[in-house]
Formats: sequence, C-alpha cells, structure tokens
Amino acid sequence: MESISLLLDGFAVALQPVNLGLAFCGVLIGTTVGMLPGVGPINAIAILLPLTFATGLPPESALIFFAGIYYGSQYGNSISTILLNIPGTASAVVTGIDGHAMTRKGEAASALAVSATASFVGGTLSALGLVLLAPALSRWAIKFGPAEYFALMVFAFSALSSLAGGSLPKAIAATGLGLLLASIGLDPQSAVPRFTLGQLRLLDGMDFVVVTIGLFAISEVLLMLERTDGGARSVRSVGRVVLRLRDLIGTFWTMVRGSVVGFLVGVLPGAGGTVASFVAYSAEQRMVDREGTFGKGDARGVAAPEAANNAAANGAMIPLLTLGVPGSATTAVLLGALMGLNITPGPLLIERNPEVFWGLVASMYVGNVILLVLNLPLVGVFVKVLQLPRWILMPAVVALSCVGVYAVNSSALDLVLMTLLGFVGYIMRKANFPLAPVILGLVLGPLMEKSLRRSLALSGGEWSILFDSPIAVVLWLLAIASLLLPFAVTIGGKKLKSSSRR
Amino acid sequence: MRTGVPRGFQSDRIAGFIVILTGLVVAVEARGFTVGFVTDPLGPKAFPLLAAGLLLVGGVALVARPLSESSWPARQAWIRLAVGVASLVAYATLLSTLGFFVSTTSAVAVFSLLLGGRPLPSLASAASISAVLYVLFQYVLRIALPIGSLFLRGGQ
Repeated sequence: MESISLLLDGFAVALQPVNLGLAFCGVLIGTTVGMLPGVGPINAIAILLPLTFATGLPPESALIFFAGIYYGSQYGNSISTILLNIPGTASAVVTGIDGHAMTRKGEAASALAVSATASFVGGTLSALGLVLLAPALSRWAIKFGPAEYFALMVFAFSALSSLAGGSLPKAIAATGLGLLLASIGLDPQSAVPRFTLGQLRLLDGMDFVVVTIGLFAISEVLLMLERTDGGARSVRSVGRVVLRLRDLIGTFWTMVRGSVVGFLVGVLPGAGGTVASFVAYSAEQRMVDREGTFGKGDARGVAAPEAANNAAANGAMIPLLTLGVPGSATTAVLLGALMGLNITPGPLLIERNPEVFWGLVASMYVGNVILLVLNLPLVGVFVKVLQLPRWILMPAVVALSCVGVYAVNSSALDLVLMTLLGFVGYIMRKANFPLAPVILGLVLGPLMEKSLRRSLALSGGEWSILFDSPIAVVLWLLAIASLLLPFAVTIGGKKLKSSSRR
Repeated sequence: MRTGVPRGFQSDRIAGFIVILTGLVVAVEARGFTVGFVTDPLGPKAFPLLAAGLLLVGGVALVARPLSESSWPARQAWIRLAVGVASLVAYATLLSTLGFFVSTTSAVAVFSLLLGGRPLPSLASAASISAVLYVLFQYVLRIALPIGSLFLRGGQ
C-alpha cells in the first residue's frame, strides 16, 4: 500500500534527531503546561509561536513541536484531573469522574498508569486508522473552486459553533467578532483601510499571536486575579507509577473500543476530544458496567475516555489539515500556527505536502512512545510542578506573553491591543462565550473573504454561483445539518449527565 | 423595575445588548468603505457587513432568549483586575523609556503581589524571570529588546 510507504517516510522525518528532540521537548512542555491549571496548551502554543518562527525551523519540524505540546498537554491534563480533579479542558472532564474517584481510593498510581497506557493505545490505533483513511481522502481531493472553499468555510464555522457545545447565539456572535478582527487593516483587493482607527500599525491587520495571547493567556491571568488565595494546592504523594498486569487485562478491550469511537468522532469535522471522550465513556458504561462501578473508581472509566481523547486528537488531524476545520480551541490555534508556517490546509494538502502530513502522523506515534516510557517514571516530578505557587507561575505567564507579543513586531501598540483583547476575553469567558470561533474567524476570515469575492467576480455578481456545484451544495447542506444537530443530541447529552451522577 | 424578566438571565441580556451595539457600530463604519472605481462586485464593505450581521443575529438571539447567568466578581476583585490591566497598559507605554528589564520586572512584580505573593519574594522572582527572558531573547534568539531611552545618554 502506498500510504504505508508514505508513513515510513513520515517516520524517517519524525526520527531525524532534530525532530525527535523537538517532539521530546514538545511532549515535556506539553505535559507540564497541560497539568498547570491556567496555562494550558493554547497559551503554550501561542506564546511559543513567535519563538518558533524566530528560530526559522522548517514547517514539519515546527509542526511536530506544536503537535508534541498538543498531545503532551492532553496527558498532563489527565494528571491534574486524576490527582486534583481540576480538568484544564473540557475533554478531561469525564476522565475525572472515575480517575479522581480512584485517587480518593488510594489508587492514583494505577489510574495514571491506565491513563498513559490508554493514551498510547489510542494513539497507535488511530495512527493505523489514518493510514487506512488517507488514500481515500487523497482521491477525493478534487479541485475546489472559490465557491466551494467559501461553502467549506461556512461549514467549518457552523461545525465548530454547534459541536463544540455551549450556546449557539454566543458562538455566532463570537464568529462575528473573529471575522471583524480579520477584516481590520488594509483591504488587499481595493487598498481601503478598514477599522484602523487612524493607526498606521493597524494597516497590517491584527496579528494572530497578539489576538491569541490576549484572548487566552491574558484573560486567564485576569481570571486568576479574582481569587486571593495565593497558595499552592496540596497533593498527596503518588508513589511509583507502574502498570499492573491486572489493570491492563481488565481494560484492554475498553481501550480498543474507546480508540475506535474516539477516532471516528475525531474525523468528524468540528467534533474534538470533548465529544469523543463523552461518547466513549457513556458507550462503555452502557456496555460493560453491570455492577454499577462506573463513577466509583472503575479503571475502565479512565481507560475509555483517555483512549478516545487521544485517538480523536489523531483523527482530528484529517479535518484540520484537509478541510481547515478544527475541533477545539487548541486545534484552532494549531491551524493558525500552520498558516503562519505557510501551510494552507485544504483537500490537496496530503498530496502536495506528504512530508508534513505523514511526518506529523509518525511524530504523534513517536510522541506517544515518549509519553509512555518517559512520563510514567516522571509523574513524581510533575506532581512537584503542580505545587508551584500561583504568584510565581501566573506572573511568569504575563512576562512570557508580553515578550512574545513584543517580539512579533517590536510594537508597543501590540501590547496595548493584547491587554484590550485580554479584557475582552475575560468578559467573554465570564459570560460563557466560546473563544474558539473568534480564533477560527481570525484565521479563516481573509481566505473566506477572498473566495467569496473571487467567486462573485467570476459570476459577475450572481450569488447563485455559491450553490452551483454539487460539492458546494453538499457542504451547504452539511453546514445546515451541523447547526441542527445539537437539538437532536440534547436528549443523548441529558442521558449521560443523569447517568454519570449516579 | 425588572418586571417579567427572570433575574438570573440579566448578564446574558446585557451581553446581548453589547454585542448588538458592536454590530451596529461595525455596520455603520463598514458602510463608509467605498472605492471610486469598481474592483469586484462586492467591494471592501461586504465582508465587514457579514461580520456585523453575525454580531446582530447572535446579539438579538441572546437578548430574546437569554440562557445562562454568570457570576461576576466582588468589588475587591474588580480593583485587582483594574490594577492588573492598568499595569499592562503602563508597561506598553513605558517600555521604550524604562527598557525591558525595569518595566518587565515592575509589571511582573505587580502581578505577583496581586496574586498574594509577599513583597520581597515577588520582586525577586519578577527580576529573575525578566533576566532569564532578556538573556533568552537578546542573546539566544537575537530579538532586540528595548534597553530604555532613560539609560542612554544623548538619546542614542
């Protein structure tokens, strides 16, 4: 099979010493930041973006580094969820149900080992899934015209807005804000300045790094300012984390099932690890929970969502790289990083940049192995990091944010914009507005406007061109369907909530 | 009087009104984006108008059917927030005058204090964070950081 040899080429990319080292650093940074409530993978990637651009790494290496942070953070997130019941992201919430229950029973080490193994199984099986699925996608990669691209991006927005959960009006408003931010600056086609407020600096438009760091990192610090207890959290020492054979045998098929569910959900555009882990947990519970031990510290309740989450992270690379549809805020930021590296996601990406796609898949696998052999012995060290007091940690995030933003353009106005956006992000978070659509709007906005205006220029102003081709019609229908989906899923979601409360 | 309005949903309504207001400002502003010559059928104003439309739709829907309440911080916390935001703005304004090290140390120390750190350890950790970042950017990544016009004689 062609895709297997491409995957082997990918391993050749991923196993180059530089890339191996980057994957290692990424995983390590990712685990650390994923564990620290308030830092998280989004902030880490946003802050490290300017640094990575400054070092001039080739795109596949930079991508491997960011992907390492991404899935390292998923594991780090599991650590803080299992030990402290503080899920840093929504995708770890389900892990906490049984994971933290195991910690309270004194089985924290076992829970951590199961979570690491499940992540590994999920990563392995989903890498295989990508090998099987990618050739079909390459064949499907037909020439997209501007009208199809426009429909595709409308679909991306509706998929993210509805499947990411939360209120649809707020997601729509957040998308509007993102598109507004995207249109700031000189209009590339007519050279009309838009929303520049007379500032020369704004003619270039809003910088992705400024917006991301402002919206996520600064708003997070502002959230932290609400609370005064500056102390560290106490964590009981965990002891040696080794995988007992009993745990592995008891959870193996759960891991496999979780991986399959997670991969399939991940491949759906717009649905990320959160949906995957919820679906896998509830499916597993319905299937094997005969004694009613789920929710009381059942290792299978950790294995299913963890495997699903990791498999979804891999599966989500397909809609992310081929459609430009991210499934979560983190992948939306990853998408922005891709654009910054001059990689435009699209149906032709697997064909045109096989080294990027397969290098990434292979490096995810390598990253999983690194996570397994490295993180299990290091859990004790990570727990120490968890005890770092907030009055050191959060100010360090502030300093990194400021220097990161300043490094982009050496502009003081960017720092003011970062602060302003940080405050806007704070208000949006308090009022439960999703931030991912803002980022997606900013990232996809310019492309979306270009394709809309090009298609209408082609048709001489006839709007019907947007619905002319079968592909475009299918994408419009998918966009409408994904907006209607939450109303159908609500019933299922309610079921899960009531059953997990038991 | 808030008659008939469930008190629990006030903040969603207010948020909705702010979103609508933003949408209106954007729409009014966008109408002015015109060119004398025809570049393409849509021109520079169509896309900002789309953004305004989304803001208006989302805002109106939110005002019509508010869904959730948010817990807003107490007055003490608002003061800390204001100090935090102000120190970041001051940082941006004074960076070129005071230079990277002094401004970053001060701003970071303010945040340490706001988050419950004691004065001396806060200053120490702020200074070490700034020093590490300065070395990293100036010498490893070779991105020039401002030294501070205050410390340069003759403005050079």
